[in-house]
Amino acid sequence: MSLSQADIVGKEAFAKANIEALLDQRGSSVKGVKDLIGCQFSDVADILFVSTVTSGLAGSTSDVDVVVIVDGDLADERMSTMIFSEGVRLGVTAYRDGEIRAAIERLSSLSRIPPSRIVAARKDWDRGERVPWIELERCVNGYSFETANRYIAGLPSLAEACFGMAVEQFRRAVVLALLADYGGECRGQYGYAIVAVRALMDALMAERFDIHSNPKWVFERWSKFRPEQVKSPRTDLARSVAATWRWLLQGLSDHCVAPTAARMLDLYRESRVAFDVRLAEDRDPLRWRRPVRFFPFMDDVSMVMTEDGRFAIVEVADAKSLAGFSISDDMKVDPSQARSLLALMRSSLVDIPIDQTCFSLVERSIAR
Amino acid sequence: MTEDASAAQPFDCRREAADRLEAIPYLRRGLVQAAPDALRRTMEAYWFLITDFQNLLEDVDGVDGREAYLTGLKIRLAERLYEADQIVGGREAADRIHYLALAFETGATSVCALSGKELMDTVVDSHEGIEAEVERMRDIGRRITRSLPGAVHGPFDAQGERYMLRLLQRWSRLAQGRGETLDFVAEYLRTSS
Repeated sequence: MSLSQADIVGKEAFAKANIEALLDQRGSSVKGVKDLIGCQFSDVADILFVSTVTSGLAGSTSDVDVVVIVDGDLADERMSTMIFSEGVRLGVTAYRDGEIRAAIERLSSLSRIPPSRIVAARKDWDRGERVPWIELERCVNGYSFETANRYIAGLPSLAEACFGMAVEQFRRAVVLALLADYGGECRGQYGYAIVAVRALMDALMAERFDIHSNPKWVFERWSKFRPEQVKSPRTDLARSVAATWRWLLQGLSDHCVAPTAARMLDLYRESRVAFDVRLAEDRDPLRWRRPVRFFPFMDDVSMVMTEDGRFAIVEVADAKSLAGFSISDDMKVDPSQARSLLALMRSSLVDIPIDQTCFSLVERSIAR
Repeated sequence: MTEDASAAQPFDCRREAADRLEAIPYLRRGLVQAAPDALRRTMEAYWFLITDFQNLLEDVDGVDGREAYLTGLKIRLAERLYEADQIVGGREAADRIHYLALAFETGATSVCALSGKELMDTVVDSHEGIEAEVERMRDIGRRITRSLPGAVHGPFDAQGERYMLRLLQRWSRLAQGRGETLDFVAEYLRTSS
């Protein structure tokens, strides 16, 4: 994914205008914020305005979030601080420049691994990194009145990683929606369908370098997104996503959503065309995530138990046989099999091994 | 049931659900928690209700007529309520991808007494207009918050810092006495913004 100079200039102008407008609205100014930060920190190298204040998503109750880049040493443990002043509520976090650059470096290596491994690495990120993922995203998208988009070099890697994770989540959510539908759940399939659509929206926007870590913003960002912003065949997919979202919302509001499986499969097929997902890679068998033992529990009911005694109950006589199941777009399962598979996935005993090795982007393939 | 009553059913369902709303129903009823990690789980759920949940409610106040944003908030609310519910209920955490489906399917009865259908009705549009939707979300938040034992001040409330420090001091003593840690608080302070 490449970021053109025009993209950068447009992003900077957009962020600057949003910050100035919001601060003006709150009776404050960039200088006022800088003075306030200057009173709290002795070694400020730069101040980045981050999050909704730069992205134009801020509302009447939003904080003004800033990241202070400091020259000196910082304690190992740090936390966000709130500063209240003259009607402005500042959310402040501090990092050293080197910490953020090291995190961006790690991010660039992350964007080159398969999406299923990116998802796992993202889960572990906050445990091993000085700069939590959400803060890194904010810094990369942040704006400084001294150095503009100081960390924008990290945006292509961030976009690739977020795109990969979103597509991966979409594929998983589709499989889960199918199983919930085939298993005869009352409402679970609609939950997965919403998650699938939300993930696909996020993927399409990530490709346009529109990244925001908090999922609460996805639909608002999507309301400003135009399908024409992405190149064909993504344009058709974007239109289908919008139509599916309308269908889902309307159906839920009217308490009459049709079964979701067919609609989800259509969206999945379109995404395969748009993202060049390879069919053959959808057919890996399930795998157990930890060592388990199988026990008969009742007639046609068995128990799957881990070594430390955690267990799940499934509605099949031979739970071991479920391991031979493979994910494909024409999955044929009976209701009890579907419910059993869903139970094992929810209890994290099995994984859907969608080892996708290639998502093709418009410019080039990623995550090979 | 008369024809009129049938037509009014979705609205009445929401009202009935709202009337029953309360946080962690067993807390006020004095039911003894016997699981070894019940103290930590209760504190973690309480922490969610006085921090992230309050932040979500504040976000609802800042919807400013943006319908798509409100939809996103409602979905997050359902997901987070389910997350808190599995903590209170003593269940092993499922992957996040399942939260919304499980919220719709099984509800969040341990943390806020809402069934799956009621929680789904909370998320979907009631066709009453965005202002009514916002007010409905505020009402849900007020009812759950008011039902918590004790006064609630959020961490970002200007008066809330002393309240939070006192609370953390007390919880820290409680946790140490039981060999527990408040790692969920450290995680929150490190990553929340």
